Amino acid sequence: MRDTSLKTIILYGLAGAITIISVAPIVWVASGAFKSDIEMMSLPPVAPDLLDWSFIGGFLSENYPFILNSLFVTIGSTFFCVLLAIPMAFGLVNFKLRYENFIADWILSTRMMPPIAAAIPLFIIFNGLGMVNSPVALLIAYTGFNLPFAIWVSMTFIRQVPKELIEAARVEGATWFETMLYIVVPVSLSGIATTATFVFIFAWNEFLLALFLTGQETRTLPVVISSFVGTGRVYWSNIAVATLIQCIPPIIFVFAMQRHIVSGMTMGAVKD
Amino acid sequence: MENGKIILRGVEKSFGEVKVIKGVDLEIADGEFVVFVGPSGCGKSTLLRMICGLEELTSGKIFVGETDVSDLPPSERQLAMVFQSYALYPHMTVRRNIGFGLRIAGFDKETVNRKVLEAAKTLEIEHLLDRRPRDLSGGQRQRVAIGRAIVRSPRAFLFDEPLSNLDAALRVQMRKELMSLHEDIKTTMIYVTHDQVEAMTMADRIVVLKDGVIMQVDRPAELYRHPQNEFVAGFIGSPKMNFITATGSGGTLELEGGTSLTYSHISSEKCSRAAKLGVRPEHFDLSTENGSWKGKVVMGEEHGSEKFYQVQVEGLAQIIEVRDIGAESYAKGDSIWLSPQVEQSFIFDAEGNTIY
Repeated sequence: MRDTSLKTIILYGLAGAITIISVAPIVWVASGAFKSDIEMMSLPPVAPDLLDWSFIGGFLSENYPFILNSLFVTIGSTFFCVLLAIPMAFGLVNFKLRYENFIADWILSTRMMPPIAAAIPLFIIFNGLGMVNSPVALLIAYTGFNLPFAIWVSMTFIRQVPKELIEAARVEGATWFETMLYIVVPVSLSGIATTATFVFIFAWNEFLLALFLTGQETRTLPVVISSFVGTGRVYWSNIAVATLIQCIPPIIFVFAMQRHIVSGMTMGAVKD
Repeated sequence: MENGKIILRGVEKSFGEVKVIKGVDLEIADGEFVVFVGPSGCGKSTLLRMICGLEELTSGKIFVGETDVSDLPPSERQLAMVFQSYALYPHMTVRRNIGFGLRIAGFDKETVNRKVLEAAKTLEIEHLLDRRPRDLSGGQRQRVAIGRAIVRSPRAFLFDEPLSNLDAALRVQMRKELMSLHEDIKTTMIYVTHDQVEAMTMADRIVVLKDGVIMQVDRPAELYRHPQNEFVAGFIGSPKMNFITATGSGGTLELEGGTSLTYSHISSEKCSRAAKLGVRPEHFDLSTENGSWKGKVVMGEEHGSEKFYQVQVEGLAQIIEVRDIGAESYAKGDSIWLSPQVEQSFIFDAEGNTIY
């Protein structure tokens, strides 16, 4: 009895310690959004005044265009990535192609390249196109970078659609495209939501390509955050506010998508 | 006039090196109910899938009506298929499931609704129209799948073992309904099954397949009465025909084990080619006193209206299966005389072809 309770205390103690270690920085940063630079660094810590939105307001009024840049690039590339990945994955799974496995592997292999290896060539290409200072360049780059991954994830869930469903639709007169649109997509909504979530989070948090391909006006939020570390001074309060804002969209997106990630969509389609 | 005639000419299919359909020629008349039957792996499902376009032809041609459909995608063949697994669209209501093909074909909303309702009435599933497939029982799902097929008024229906997922009672009922449906709409139907009872009861003509080759195409009764070869003779009929290795000369068949049987009514030329004797279980006369063969009952099964016995005949190497509808019953160990009805029995040559 005593042993058990001691064990429990140790376990809970450890769990608590781990929780504090992981949560503390987030709490510090989040509370920093309601403090000045000096208050953030003071010891013992000052309690944040959660009613004081002046730091957040001040940050937003100056930096809202960059948040919009981030949203534009992220939502745009997520949309195009899913839009392109589904037909590609559908084709790779359902069409009898020569070397289809090779093509699929090759597509994935492009994802193995480190982004830094592509950054400079991409810069040269977009510079040549006169697009370096345009968020569209980043949108295209993110779409291209995430496409292989999105195709692979999509292939996995499209393979799970019962073959007979696709065959039934085809015999009923549906073209491949109609079969994909009316049968495969609705049945795979949960898989599509999963793919979109991954792509969204990746694009939203991406830093390296954004650093290379954006100019002063077209920066995304991660680039902006990094700019608060100046040569002479670190703007902690701004970093805290920006980080807090940076955390919000992925959380909203995941919750929104979770609704669609329901299991058993295909129940009743074929004999279980 | 849309014609539901289906013609297969020299149809072959290979998966890599493996040839699964080895040259099939077949003509199916408009409005005919044809059943493809054979053991698993005989290629019957593959053949069906080739007709509807889900499998490409390796060589040969397929015609639906007057059209060569060999290279057409399934969507342009105007055929309907009912799958073993039903293959209902899980995200659509029954109404939308049935109407899918019509909507794809571009019919206006009113026409689609009207036709869906008609089909639902025929199949007595009107009350299910707003449910989803997952809320339906197996039999109801099967009806929806059939509804989805009939609503498009296709040139022909293709059924791929549609009843094998249903329980026995429901299967018998659906079988009857399918037959009366065929009576009503008189559209060509091709039906694949491994169940010879289904084949015998439903078909206008049966196509017996083995290893990708047609063994025989005939009306059910003809298949039973005049099987062209040993395979068909063994496949059609339950319990299976008894096969006894034999050699013949001059009107007498010497059977394996030393017994012989006299065939006075066939030519000695034919007799000399004999390699096997085939007698159906129902073609024996039973007696306690006398007959051609003396044996002992090894096992008996009483079914009320009929009885099945396994009999060890003296001088025969194998157990003989017998079906009897007489009043008398025999028990295990009883002595019994069997007389094969010579007129009703079959003789096969070494290649398995029927001689008599």
